[in-house]
Order: sequence, then structure tokens, then C-alpha cells
Amino acid sequence: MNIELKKYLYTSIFSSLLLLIVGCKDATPDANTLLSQIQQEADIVTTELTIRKIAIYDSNQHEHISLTDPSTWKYGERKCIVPVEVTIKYGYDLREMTMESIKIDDESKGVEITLPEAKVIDSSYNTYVDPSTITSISTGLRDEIGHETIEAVRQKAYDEVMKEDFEQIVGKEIRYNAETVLASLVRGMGFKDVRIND
Amino acid sequence: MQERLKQILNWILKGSSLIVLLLIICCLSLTIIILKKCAGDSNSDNISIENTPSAIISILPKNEIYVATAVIEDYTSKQATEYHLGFFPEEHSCVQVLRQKVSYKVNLADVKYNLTEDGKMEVTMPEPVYTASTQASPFISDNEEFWSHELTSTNSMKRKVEMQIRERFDTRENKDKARIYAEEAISHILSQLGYEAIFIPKTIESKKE
Repeated sequence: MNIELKKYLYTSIFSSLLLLIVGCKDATPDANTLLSQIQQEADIVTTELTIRKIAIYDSNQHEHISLTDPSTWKYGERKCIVPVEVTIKYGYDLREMTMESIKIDDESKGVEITLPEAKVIDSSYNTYVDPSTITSISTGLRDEIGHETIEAVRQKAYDEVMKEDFEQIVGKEIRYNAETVLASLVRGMGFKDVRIND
Repeated sequence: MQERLKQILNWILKGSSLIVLLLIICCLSLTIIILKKCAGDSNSDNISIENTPSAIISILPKNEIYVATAVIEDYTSKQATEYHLGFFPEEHSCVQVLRQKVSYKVNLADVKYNLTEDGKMEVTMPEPVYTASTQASPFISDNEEFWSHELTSTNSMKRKVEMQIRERFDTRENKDKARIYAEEAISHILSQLGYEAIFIPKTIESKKE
């Protein structure tokens, strides 16, 4: 075999090996791939809270004219009122309940359960919009309020609601519902006396 | 008067008229650009809302266990043609995106327990149920005003995306995984209470009845 052919052969083999190694390397999944894969959970939902927020958007309150920026020279104003319904589900992560959380009294057939911290299991806002519930006006040379602005306003309202701490207001109801649910669950298994602690 | 007009006309038709014409064109273009910037409202990123109170409508007790979750985002698009003055077409397009947290849940009230003689707990559990909750639903278009007239509501587009998301997540494989996760969660509770769980498929249970 002549030298040129040998060089070509060795280069091809080396390149193929390199491609094989690189191709077989496990690609690190990105955040989007991870999000869309099914995740195992063990969350018990005991309370569902429904909140209504009236989102009011007024361009006058947030837009300021700047002489140096022509994009702020807007003639007219835009306003809209959009009601948003947010649903928050509270509950407990069962995986946080360990052997120490549950004490059984074999004689009295009683159970004492110490609950972990309540947390938000799921939150969302209404997907579908009833156009008849939305009020909007635009004056001057401003564009009419369309679906883009309405969806942005709804998203803002949802974000604002999620910043509030409702556990302080409805904490007692969350705990009471958890006691009722867990007590009925445990009684269904044959236990007579159930005590729930914080 | 006529001679005056003739003089003006002669002046316009001289060489300097070209400069005047260019100046007029520049002024018109500038006016159009400024008006467009004044009238345009394409930037909905800077929207902020008034500080209004949130009203609690209802507080309901629930008895569910969420055993599997994923966050899925999908979209659908629409195109339409706008005719200016009946002749000049302009293409428009829009996209409805939906981000949903999709889950499988089991209603604990439907789970039946039966203690056997050898101290094991027979558990009959219903199939996990699919549920979806919306986290974000942005609407993107090239012309907001056009689409506000063309589409009275985006609900049909959202329904389509919701079906797409369901088709992606609510598969036999994921349902089976969810069932396994549900059994593991209930076994965990029962093991804390000192019981070993034995899961009976619904079909055998209904035959027994």
C-alpha cells in the first residue's frame, strides 16, 4: 500500500472513531426537555381556593412621554378591565411524611399524624375568556385593545395573585380540610381514633 | 394675478424646484414615520396593571392525590389576508401559545381498602384521571388591531392547543406510569401505618361484586 493511501485510511479510521465517541456521548437534556417529561409526585390536595381578580390596565398610568424617544409620543390612551379567575390548590407532600410523622397505638386502634408544612400543589388561571366580560376603550391614534394585550393583562393579574400569601387568610380552613381528609382516609383503613398535629 | 401665477410657475420649474420636491418628500416621510410610532402599540411587554384587591370566591375541600406531573407548552397559528382598498393584499399571522401543567390524579374517596385475615391491606384504586391547568396563554400577532376584528375570541385556538397537549401527554404509557406512581404513594402511606398493600385490579373487584 502506498503512503498516500495509508494516510487516507488512518485519517478515515480516526475520524470515524471520533464521530462514534462524540455521537455516543449522552446529551444533557435542556430545561424544556426536563419540564415536558413526566415527573413522579405524591401530593395530596386538601383545599382548593378560587380567587377573582379584576385586572385594570390604563396606559395613562404607565406611559410617560419622552422628548428624545419618538416611540413614546402616543396620541390617545388605552384602557381595559379584564376579570381573571385564579385557582390555587393547597396540600401536602406525602414523601415528607416519615415514620416519625405517624404514631400508632395498637391498643386503642388510634393514630396520631404530624402534618408537614402545607404548600401550593397547583395553581392556574382560567384558560377561556368570555369576551362579554371584558371592557376596553382606545382613543386618539391608539390601536384597539386586542387579544395580545388582554392575554398580557391576564398573565400579569395571575402573577400578582401568586405573589400574595393566602395561607395567612385561609390557613385554618386548609388545616381543617387536611384533618378531615386524612381522618376519613385513615378511618377507611380500620383505625378508630385519629389525631392530627401540626 | 395671472402674471404672478406665471412667475411662481416659472420659479418652480427652475432648477431649485428639485430641492423643494426632495424637501417635501422628506417632510412627508418623516410625518408618516412619526405618526406610525405614535399610533403603534406593538409592545405589550411593558404592560402593568393597577393594584386591585383579590377576592376569595370559594374555599373547597378536596380529596385528591397528584401522582404524576409535567409542564407542556404548545401552540397553534392562523393566517389571514387583509385587502386594502379591495385590491392590495396584506398577509397577517398570529400564534396562540398555551403552557399547561398536566397531571394525573386519583380521588382518594374512590379508593377502597379491605383488611385481610393475614394482616395485609387489599386496595382497589380507580384509574388515574388526566387534568390540566393553564400557567400561561400568550397571544402573538403581527397586527393586534386586525386580529381583534378577525377573531372575536381566541377560545377555539386555545381549545385546539389543549387537545394537542392532551394527545402528547395523555398516552397509555404515561397512564401506566401514573398508575404505578399512585400505587407507590398509597403503599407509602400504608407502610407508615404498618400495612402491606396489595393492589387489586378494578376488573377482578367488579367480578367479585
